[in-house]
Amino acid sequence: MKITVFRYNPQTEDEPRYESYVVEHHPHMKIIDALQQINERYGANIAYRSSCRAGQCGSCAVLANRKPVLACRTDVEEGMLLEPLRNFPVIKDLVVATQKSYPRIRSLRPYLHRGKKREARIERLLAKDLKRLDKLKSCIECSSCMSSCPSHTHSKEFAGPMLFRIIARFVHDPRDNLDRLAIAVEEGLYLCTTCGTCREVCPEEIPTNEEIQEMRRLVYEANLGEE
Amino acid sequence: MVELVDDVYQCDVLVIGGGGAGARAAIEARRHNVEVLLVVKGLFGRSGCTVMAEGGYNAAFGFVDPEDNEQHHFEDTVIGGRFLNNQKLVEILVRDAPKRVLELESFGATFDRIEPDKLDQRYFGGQRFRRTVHRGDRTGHEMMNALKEEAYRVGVEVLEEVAITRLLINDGMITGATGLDLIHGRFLLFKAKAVVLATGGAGRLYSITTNPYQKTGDGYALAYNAGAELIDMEMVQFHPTGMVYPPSASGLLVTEAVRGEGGKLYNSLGERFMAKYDPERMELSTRDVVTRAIFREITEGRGTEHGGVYLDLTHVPDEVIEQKLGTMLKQFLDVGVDIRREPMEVSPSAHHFMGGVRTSEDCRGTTIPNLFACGEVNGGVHGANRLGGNSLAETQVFGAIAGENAAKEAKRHGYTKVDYKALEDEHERIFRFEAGEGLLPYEVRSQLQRVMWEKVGIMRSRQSLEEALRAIAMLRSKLGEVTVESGLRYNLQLLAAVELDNMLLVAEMIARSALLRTESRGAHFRSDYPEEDPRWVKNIVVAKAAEGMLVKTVEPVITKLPP
Repeated sequence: MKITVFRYNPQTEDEPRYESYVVEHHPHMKIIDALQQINERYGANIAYRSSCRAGQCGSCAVLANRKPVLACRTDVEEGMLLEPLRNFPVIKDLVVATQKSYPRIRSLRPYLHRGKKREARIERLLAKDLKRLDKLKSCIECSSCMSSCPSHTHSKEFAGPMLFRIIARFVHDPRDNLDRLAIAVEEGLYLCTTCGTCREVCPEEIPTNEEIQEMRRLVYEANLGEE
Repeated sequence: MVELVDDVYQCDVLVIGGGGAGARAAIEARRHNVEVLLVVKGLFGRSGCTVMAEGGYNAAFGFVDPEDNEQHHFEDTVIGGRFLNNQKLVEILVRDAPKRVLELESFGATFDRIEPDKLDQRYFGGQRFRRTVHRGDRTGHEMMNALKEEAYRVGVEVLEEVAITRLLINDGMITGATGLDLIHGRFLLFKAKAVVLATGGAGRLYSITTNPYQKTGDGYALAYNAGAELIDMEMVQFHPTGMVYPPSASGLLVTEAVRGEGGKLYNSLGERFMAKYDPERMELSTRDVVTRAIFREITEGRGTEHGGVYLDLTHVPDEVIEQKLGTMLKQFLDVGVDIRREPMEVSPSAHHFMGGVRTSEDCRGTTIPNLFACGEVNGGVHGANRLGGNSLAETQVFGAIAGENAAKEAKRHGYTKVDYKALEDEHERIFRFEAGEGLLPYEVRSQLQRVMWEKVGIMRSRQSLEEALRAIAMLRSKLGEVTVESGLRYNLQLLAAVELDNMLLVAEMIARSALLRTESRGAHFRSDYPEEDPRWVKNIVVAKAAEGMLVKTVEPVITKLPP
């Protein structure tokens, strides 16, 4: 089996290039297995990220045939083209600076805001509230959605689905009392086209597009919305 | 100094490791108003084991079984650990574990509930009561998210994708550390007043492991080279159930919660074989017992075609599997197995290092006053065998203690001068790999992993351990032939070479300690000494000496429960 990999070290090379490699295939072989095999057999030294191998850490997202996937959960295919995620600077080969999102994430104040801390006993939380948070908190921050969102690609005024997922996680946490909807408006709530690409590429199938629509509804109800 | 390093970072407390323990330590140190820098080899909160932890966290709240209490938790832990635990540390673990759960919820986590103000608790192996709090089967992920949120709130500085290569020592104190910055391709110097090691374990020493790629035992090697003592290094826990098929998923954890929710083990003859090994506790016996039972079934020819045994959940209602074991359901669907309809194939997988840096109750290294350790890199809490659910608790309980004491230590003194010679030596060690044509680090690494699995694994003997030590020495000499591509930026070959050096050192610690322990206890099984020997209620300590690796025995710390 042959696959093609994007190669680029911006520190030493002017232009990216594409290299093809022959992989000895076995059933259910994942993309990370192929990359590891290429590095071990040919000394290709392709840079890629990976940690848990089980789709739990979100480190290993890459573009496979132009679609963002987790390299540890996706079967490698004949002729597959592997490239780094879009919308982030390339560090080397398949590794991108997802760290670029951090300052903006930090600016969302991504932590519970409440009066004083309650640590004396277990806090009352209703099953329905916990259930509401389930999907929202399953994000593994792989940045697949950030790579493929058309609105975020067009303009960074729209903070991107992963950041709106963070905002929504606090909107629906009954313990949080910061005006998260105001932050959402600030970060481009109305710039989402609701196309649903974020959900399509999400390994956890988080419907961020629907969450954004829900936040718009809440803004409307709270009469915060733009004219 | 300037000519050797690309940049210098300075902080009061340097936390090495970004999993549950490192994050908790950094948060606590920051609360004590010192400058904290957390450095992590992969991505923060995502390259350690915490984020992968599925089943849960032990805290004797008694919400489900009101009879449960700290004393029971203490006893289960020490009995499970076969009396090698440092009982002072166990007392702290059981005392603080519930508090740290409340705190995690205040950081933003939510655990599953039976009532709005009562947490759900499940059975885990080796425990008499339902004690394990959880969030479905993604408990660690939930905790890690909350810890990251809190780290943002208190303002912990984080530097990702930097591999710390050496702790620098001057006059018995740590002055800082060197690191390889993968993103920018820089060789860095860190100056710190106190250091917290929270690098996790070394599952990657074995060819079959549940651990992420980063778990190469760096912390054990850093501590050893700095002059710290390490305890119980022979105690390596093999999780009874890892995936066996397909090869890409080899070793991946199949959570104990599967058995907690009623999963039954069968061999290829259809026998529920745990009845032979532990008729009372069956599938929920301690991990060491279940591991050896499965290993024996497989080696005696009653395994499946892919070399495992069956773990069956098909009698459990679909809704329970979907709600409580969603991660497992997905993990097996990825490889074409629907666990609602057909059994899983599982076999043991290297999982957890009970041993680690020898510390006192304040998480301070016994021989270096400004070195602290917490989480899996620390030793003593679990003795000879760790109970499932105790290590998530350990990360939080001892993370907080290490962070607090490191902050206090940092306030007591200024920076100590970095020893230029030590820095120069380290620079040379790192850059020597760049020379010429040689072996790739991967070849040597896979050989080491095989040696460890076959000779220092689930079953050991004097012969296998001596062979392993010879093989490790041979592989160490091969390390001299390893060369890598030049350049520091995301150079995975260089990272693998640096890790390999650590792995060889840790492998030797395990094999030497295992050779000395002429008995079987907990996770350590010697086929030539298959029984537990009461004279061996002793801990084995390794440390660096002028003449090489020093191995000695010490008396365990017993406070309440004598063997």
